[in-house]
Amino acid sequence: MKPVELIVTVFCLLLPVFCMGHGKVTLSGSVYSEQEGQTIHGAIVHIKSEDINTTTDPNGFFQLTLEPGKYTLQVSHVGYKPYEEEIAVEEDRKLEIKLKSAPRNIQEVVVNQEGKKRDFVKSPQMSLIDLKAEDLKSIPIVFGEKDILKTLQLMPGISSAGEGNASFYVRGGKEDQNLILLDQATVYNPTHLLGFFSTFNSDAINSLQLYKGGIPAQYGGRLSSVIDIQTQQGNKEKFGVNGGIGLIASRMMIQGPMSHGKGAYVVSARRTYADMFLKLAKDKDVRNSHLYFYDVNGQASYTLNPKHELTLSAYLGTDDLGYKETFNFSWSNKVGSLGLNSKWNSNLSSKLFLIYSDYDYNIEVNSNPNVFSIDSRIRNFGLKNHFDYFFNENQRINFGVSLMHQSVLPSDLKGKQSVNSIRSERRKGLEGALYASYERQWIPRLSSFLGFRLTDFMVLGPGTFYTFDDQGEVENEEHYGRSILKHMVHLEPRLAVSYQTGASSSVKLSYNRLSQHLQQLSNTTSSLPTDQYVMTSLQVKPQLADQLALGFFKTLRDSVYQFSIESYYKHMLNQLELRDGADLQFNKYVEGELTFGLGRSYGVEFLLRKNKGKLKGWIGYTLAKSEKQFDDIRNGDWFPARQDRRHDASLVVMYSLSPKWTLSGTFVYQTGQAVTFPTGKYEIDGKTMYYYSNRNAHRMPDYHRLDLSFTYEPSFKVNKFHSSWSFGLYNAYNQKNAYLINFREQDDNKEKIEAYKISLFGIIPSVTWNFKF
Amino acid sequence: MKRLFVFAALVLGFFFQSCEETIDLDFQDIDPVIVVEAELSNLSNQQEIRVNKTKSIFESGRFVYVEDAHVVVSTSKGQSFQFIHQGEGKYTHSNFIPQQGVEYSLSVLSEGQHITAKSTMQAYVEVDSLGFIEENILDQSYDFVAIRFLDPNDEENYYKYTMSVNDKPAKFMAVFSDKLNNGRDVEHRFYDADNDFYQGDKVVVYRSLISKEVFRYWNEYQRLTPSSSAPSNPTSNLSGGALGYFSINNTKRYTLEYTNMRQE
Repeated sequence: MKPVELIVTVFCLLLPVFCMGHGKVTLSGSVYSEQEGQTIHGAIVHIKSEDINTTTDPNGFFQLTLEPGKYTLQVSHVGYKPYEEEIAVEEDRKLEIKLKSAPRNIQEVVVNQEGKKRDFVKSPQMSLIDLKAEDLKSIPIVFGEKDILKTLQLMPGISSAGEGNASFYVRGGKEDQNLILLDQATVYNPTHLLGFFSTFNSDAINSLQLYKGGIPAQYGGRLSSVIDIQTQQGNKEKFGVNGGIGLIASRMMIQGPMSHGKGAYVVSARRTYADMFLKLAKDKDVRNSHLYFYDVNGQASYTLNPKHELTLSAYLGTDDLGYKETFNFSWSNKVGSLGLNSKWNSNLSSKLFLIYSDYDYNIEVNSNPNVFSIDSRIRNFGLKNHFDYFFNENQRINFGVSLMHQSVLPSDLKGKQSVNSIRSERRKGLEGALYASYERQWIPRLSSFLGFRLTDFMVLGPGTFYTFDDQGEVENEEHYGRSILKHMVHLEPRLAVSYQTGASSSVKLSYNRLSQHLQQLSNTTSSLPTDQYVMTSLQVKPQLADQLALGFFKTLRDSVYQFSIESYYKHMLNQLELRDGADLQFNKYVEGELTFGLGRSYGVEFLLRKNKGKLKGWIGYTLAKSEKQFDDIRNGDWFPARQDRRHDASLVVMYSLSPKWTLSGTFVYQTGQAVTFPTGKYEIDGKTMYYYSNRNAHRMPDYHRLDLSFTYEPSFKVNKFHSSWSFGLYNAYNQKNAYLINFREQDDNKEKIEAYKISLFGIIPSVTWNFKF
Repeated sequence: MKRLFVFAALVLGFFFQSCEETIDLDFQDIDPVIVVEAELSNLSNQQEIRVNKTKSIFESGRFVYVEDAHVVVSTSKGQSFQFIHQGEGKYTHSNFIPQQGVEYSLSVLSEGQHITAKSTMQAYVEVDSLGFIEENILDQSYDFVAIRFLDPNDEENYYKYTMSVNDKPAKFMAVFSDKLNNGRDVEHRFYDADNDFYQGDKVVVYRSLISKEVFRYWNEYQRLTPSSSAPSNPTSNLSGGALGYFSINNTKRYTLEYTNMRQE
């Protein structure tokens, strides 16, 4: 007997009441698209006579328990013709169901809405934004590209960090509190070009889930959110190419079968060429400069045997900025995972992942006499083994273990000529976790997730650790050898419950506790790729958060509309701020520049979504507050966090004008973030100085913007070359939103100060031509 | 390195047509805070300390002079120098040359507020050579003043430069520490962003060795950028929440004449 089966059997022996299910048989299977060979996530599987329903998981897999007998099986999904089959089920049976594409101009008829309702209304999972493949096809276009991260910011509870900044805040948390996973591997820097673009090529993405609360036990490591992204799998049936050419960037994707249909691969790549415009400059030095990014996604899957499938996923993205031979600045993300999906028997399945992720930046300066290079790197690798045990459709348990090694190398300076080398020390940690979550429907109206995650973060030597006094001066220095210096153990409950108040409405409540051991230090408004990371150490304590959320969910008109109101309260411990005038560069005492305090955020989110018909889209609104309390800032009073935005509203509309023309628009309105402005002035050395009194006591002006895009897509002919055009208008009414506000002496009167704002983007048109064959 | 970010931001900004516009902001008036500029050096026996107050940011006018303060500099040996108000918040002493190795204490008493600070003069580090260097950045040529010397290995050294052109008042140029080039042959460079050099200009460079706390003040002063997310007042070595600094400088002056070597 395999060890895993032994553990499950022992578990079953201890809790016999949960192992009943005798006499019933399991009907399971995978649902594919016949055209593309892709598995379909979210397809509805319905047994007509029994009124039993389920939906397929991200791997296209479903499972039901039934009494032996004959049934009518119906499977349906948006964009496909409904499937129906009479089947006889006498014993456990596994099916492979292929759905045929439905041409676009046929009204979408979906057999039964129960599946959609099940996920949204019945499941205890709340605070989740779930984007499946077809949702991603119709997201708005920004700068000629479909940008997933920018689209997520159009949802309530998620707000942008500002113009030209792809970082975001979830429920009032900081930008480093979001865990972004690409096929289970962590992506440290999800942006390109100082925050203007995100690192995800939406062609390569199959689906994603963003949890703002109610975070399942299998995830941990960041306080505010988890974004779990699954890349597209290759087409097992046939070879295909698609791509797009735009004004700012171009992309291409190639996919096809391998090994006679046992496997498939897909590779996609993207590059910008904003620096082509530099070649037109008069100055020779500007012509010799470059500014670009590229990224490559690859995914391969291979079926070893009916029970096991191997998957390999990799991502590489690099940004490069250079000015003649004087400066060169590059940074890159390299991320990969190797997965083994196993179906041991009709009840137990598991996924084992080996994960690697690496983010580094490199600066080279060659400016006589200063010649030096700076390297910095953050890396993690490890494994995660996730198990899913299905008792019956009312009970299941998922559990697992993960072990990740984390290392951070802050800036390492190698000097030549006039510059000394400053070697910085690598910091290491090991994060182990054990988790389990029991999902149960107690009575048809009441369901719950009862789970926990037990984490142990181990601070590892070798290394030199410092302790600091209240003023941030070094008190003590100690060298440690290769050993585990400290264990930080936390028990994180993950609990959720839902109660159905009506056939299509419910109330949900969730509580979770999370710990975080990695933080980013940043003291500028743009997300700079040189923002440093610090890990939990002997001086730096782990961040902790408790979140309580309560919501009401309802579907209307047969799941055409989804409505939800959610309110949340988050309390955070050991939040980090930089001391005034903190020196972050090459500072081995950087931990002394940190000060610790509390955070809290709370709010209400409204969302009304229409998922079907000619007009689709959503309206979202958030009313929220995010505050901090530090003993040495503002006299220890609670003050607004920088990410505090009181109101955040968005409207997204996608309208099919005709079978070929689609119009989409987004409108956002947000009140300004908290900011520190000077309130007084004085002179030092004849120069005007600004006097800053209270941190974050002022607000940036309100931000609002309208984006429009038109897509022309002629009818899809099978097996022929297919192209479409997208025209976009970013910031259609040319609103000059403030990126930065600064102060200066008036030109004509040096004795008076004026404030001025810098806006980054006016109206920007974009044109992209997309192709597929 | 900052230049590279500016360059990148400029390119992106040019590409995305960013723009600047004045705006109206409405702030409440603030309670004034005392500002003390106390820089004493061994260049001469004439010393000046300025005491002012802050104004609300959108008020007209530059200064609020403090004219009735009691300003005294004393040593641990019991010497005491009283500074006399000459007008416009300037307090002077005409017979005081600070010495190396002595700890000086500043005391400013005004309207019931008592501000104190301490500072000690650092050892001077001699210069090998000084001159002008021309450098091309982004199709513009800049004239830098360059100073070459050997930084002592066994101590932490902090350098401050001010410059006066054609007998105008000296302006702050830059401060440097030896964090990256301790014990090495060093070249310090700076330039005046607001004024170019012209043929025949008389350029006087004042080079001072300063203490770590005073370096911290000027370093934060020169690093104040509009894109900082948590700007703050430069860390002062004055007590009582006053703005400004107290520094005893070990200073030497160097006179140069600017000759234009470029082909016009």
